[in-house]
Amino acid sequence: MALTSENVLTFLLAGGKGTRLYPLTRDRSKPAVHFAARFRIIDWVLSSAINSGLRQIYVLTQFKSLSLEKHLRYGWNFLANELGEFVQAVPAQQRISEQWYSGTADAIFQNLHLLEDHRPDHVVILSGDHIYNMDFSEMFKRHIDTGADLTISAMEINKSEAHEFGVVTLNEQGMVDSFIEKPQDPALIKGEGDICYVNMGIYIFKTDTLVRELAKDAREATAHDFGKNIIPDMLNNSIVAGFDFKLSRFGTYWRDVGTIASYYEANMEFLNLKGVDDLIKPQWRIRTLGEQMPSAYFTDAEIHNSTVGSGSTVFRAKITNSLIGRNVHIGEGTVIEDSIVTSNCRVGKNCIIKKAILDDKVTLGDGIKVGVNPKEEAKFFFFSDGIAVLPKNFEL
Amino acid sequence: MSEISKKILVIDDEENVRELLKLEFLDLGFEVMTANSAFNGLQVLKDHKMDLVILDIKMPGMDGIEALEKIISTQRGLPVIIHSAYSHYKDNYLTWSATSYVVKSGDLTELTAKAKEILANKED
Repeated sequence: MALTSENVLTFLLAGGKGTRLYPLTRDRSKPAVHFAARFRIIDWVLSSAINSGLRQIYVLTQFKSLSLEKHLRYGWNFLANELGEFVQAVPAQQRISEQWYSGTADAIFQNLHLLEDHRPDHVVILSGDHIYNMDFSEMFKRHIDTGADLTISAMEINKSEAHEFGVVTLNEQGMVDSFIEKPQDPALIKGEGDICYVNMGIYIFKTDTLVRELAKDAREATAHDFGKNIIPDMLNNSIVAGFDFKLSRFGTYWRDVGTIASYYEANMEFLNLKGVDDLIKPQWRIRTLGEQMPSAYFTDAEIHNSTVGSGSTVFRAKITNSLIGRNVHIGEGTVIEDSIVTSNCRVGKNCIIKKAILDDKVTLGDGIKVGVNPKEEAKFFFFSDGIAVLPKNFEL
Repeated sequence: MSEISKKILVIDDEENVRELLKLEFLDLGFEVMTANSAFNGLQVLKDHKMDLVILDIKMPGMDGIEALEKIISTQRGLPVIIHSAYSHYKDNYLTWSATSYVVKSGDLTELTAKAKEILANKED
């Protein structure tokens, strides 16, 4: 089903603070945090949206949005506006309320005028916080085939982790028959052992249903949240279909990257995919802001299981199990292991960097040690779960 | 709280409509205040606690749709009946946040019935 010819409007919720990702979110919202040293987290969902044929996309920003808005302006301003296509950042305008968005549903409610302007038949709501690939046209087909008012994408997860999510149960026809946000005792998928379906924060609504539910919710004292309020309420009076993420042709990989530890692990997973997996496919490209730079330059460098971005120079250094971004300069005698060095960093000579995240534009002089003796280094560096995190513009 | 103390605010730029509704709802035992513009109506809402707003849409300056947005943002639980001569605004998503929509008519039966129903169900 070609989504490009359907009357569909997409909202991408990109206002997440990403508090647990501090200090990577000190200067930017979570969707703008770098991933795999050169991408931003939001690039994944935006790439999936574009690849799926969603071409009218509003990105709802909120906190610390400058970095994200610049990224969208420079990296995602390529669609054909004359064909009605766009990726447009929408800052929280406080048009209806003088408050920030108080929940995911409130974010859409405060932008109802965009629905009135476009009058779409269906609305796709996505989150800019996650790393995954998905063909949304497959989910849309199910939404149409079932005649659902709302279709929710659900993925399988171990019961031990499910209490952090909205847990969904599906009947034999795959329709949602229960939805409980962060339950103490998550419901299991029948016959699948300790596995549950959880909500991925990916929704397709019939527009009339969405507006009716948002308007009703807006008049009530609720959390104004899709998971806590709108969806449980709709189970009483609407047709709610489930879409099994694993049935998607890309549906095996999804990561929340909500903490420094999970962010680090996802980056290392990306590295160890070695270019062959659901995340990297020639027919499903991941777009990002691509500055034109010469190829990376190496002289007598030793590189093992690592990536190095264009414009970078590596002089007689040893890099192992690491992601190095663009325009990074690494001096002689430096050793980098199990680390993420984001674009535009400068690392001097004879440094040792182990299990560390260097954010954008970090500058280290000669002989600096990071992650070698965490107890001692805690005086200089921020550590989270044993990972040293050097924030943007850090200099030593 | 007895019905007699329920307060209704009528926001309409047409004086005849304001007077007609005022007399009607006074007769029914409600307290009534009126405002001749959305701006003035919002000011009344700042200064007085009301139980129901009856809101025209097509008014000079701020229209009823914008006023509705502002009412919801400041007094989420306050019921609003849109009272317009035009039915086509019913299709405008921005009016769906109103508690009810009544098209203006010389016969006030529908409007008064809806107001009484809403006020009877309203929690103080």
